[in-house]
Amino acid sequence: MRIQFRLLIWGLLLILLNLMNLLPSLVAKIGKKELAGISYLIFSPFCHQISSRSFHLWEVQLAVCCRCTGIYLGLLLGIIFFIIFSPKISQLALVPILIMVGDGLANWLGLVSSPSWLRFTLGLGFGFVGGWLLGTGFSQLEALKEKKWQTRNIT
Amino acid sequence: MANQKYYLKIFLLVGLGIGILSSAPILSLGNCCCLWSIAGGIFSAWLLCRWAEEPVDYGQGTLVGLFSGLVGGIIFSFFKALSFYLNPSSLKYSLEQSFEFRGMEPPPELEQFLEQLTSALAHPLWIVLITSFFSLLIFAIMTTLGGVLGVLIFEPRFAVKRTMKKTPQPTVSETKPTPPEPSEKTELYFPRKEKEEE
Repeated sequence: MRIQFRLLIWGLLLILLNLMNLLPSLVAKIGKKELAGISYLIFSPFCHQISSRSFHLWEVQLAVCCRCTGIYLGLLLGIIFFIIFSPKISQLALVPILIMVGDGLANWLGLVSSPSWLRFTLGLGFGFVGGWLLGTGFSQLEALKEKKWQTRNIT
Repeated sequence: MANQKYYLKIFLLVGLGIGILSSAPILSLGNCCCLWSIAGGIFSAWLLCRWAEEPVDYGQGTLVGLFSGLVGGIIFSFFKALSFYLNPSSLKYSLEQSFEFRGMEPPPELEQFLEQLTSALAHPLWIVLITSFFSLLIFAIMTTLGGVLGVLIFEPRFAVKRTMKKTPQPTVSETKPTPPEPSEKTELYFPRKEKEEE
């Protein structure tokens, strides 16, 4: 149960991150547009935030681009998936990651120009596997800590 | 538990790298889509797998990734806070830029809002603290992801190398003992041999 509890905390932090992404649109809806600046400022070092490559909700641009929106949402979904099903990870998990990296490289080199929905979908796949990996990592970290405690108690 | 001695070295080495790369003027552009954070996490896992004497699991990858990200995030936040502290008007400028960059007019209430916020929070440094918290969170998540990903990619390869190193290989001296050279002089005394020579 403790493993689930710690993962829930990470899940809550990811919900907070997704809410920060939606903040500009939410605050614009209640007429406090100036608050959006903080959200844009937070994510500016981590995302290009180009308007044409970002989603707009209620005519206000979200804090990050389509791909990053997909990644953050995918991370949350991946953690929830791990909490519910706890599946084992395999090397096949690398496939969505490699596809997104390939798409990112192709766009960066100017070979293709992926539409927003594709960027979002590939980001979602990357994020989902990422959330699954995070879940696996944190649950094993907990097991590692318990093992250490047991060794300490024996000695 | 034998891998534990490498943790601190990895945290500091990778954390410093991530922090500097994310803060440096031109290099920081590489942090777009969290490239430096994820790459840093993968690198920390690679270092751990390379130096480790015992098998590395996802938990250890998570640990090195998480703490490398936290160290990197602290360094990044420090430089960010320092730039705001040395040039307080840069915070307002950054906020205005964030609107103009999107083709939006900065709302006229922005200045008033900043004043309100400053008076409410007593110091503009609170804004820096809020942004630093989220920066740390993003760094921590992305480097942890990189750490687990690194273990998934590199551990199978390094595990094979580790097993080969541990298995003792039969050497020539063990299989076939070399006889002493016939011309070699020994300190042993052979009286019959001396008589024969005479």
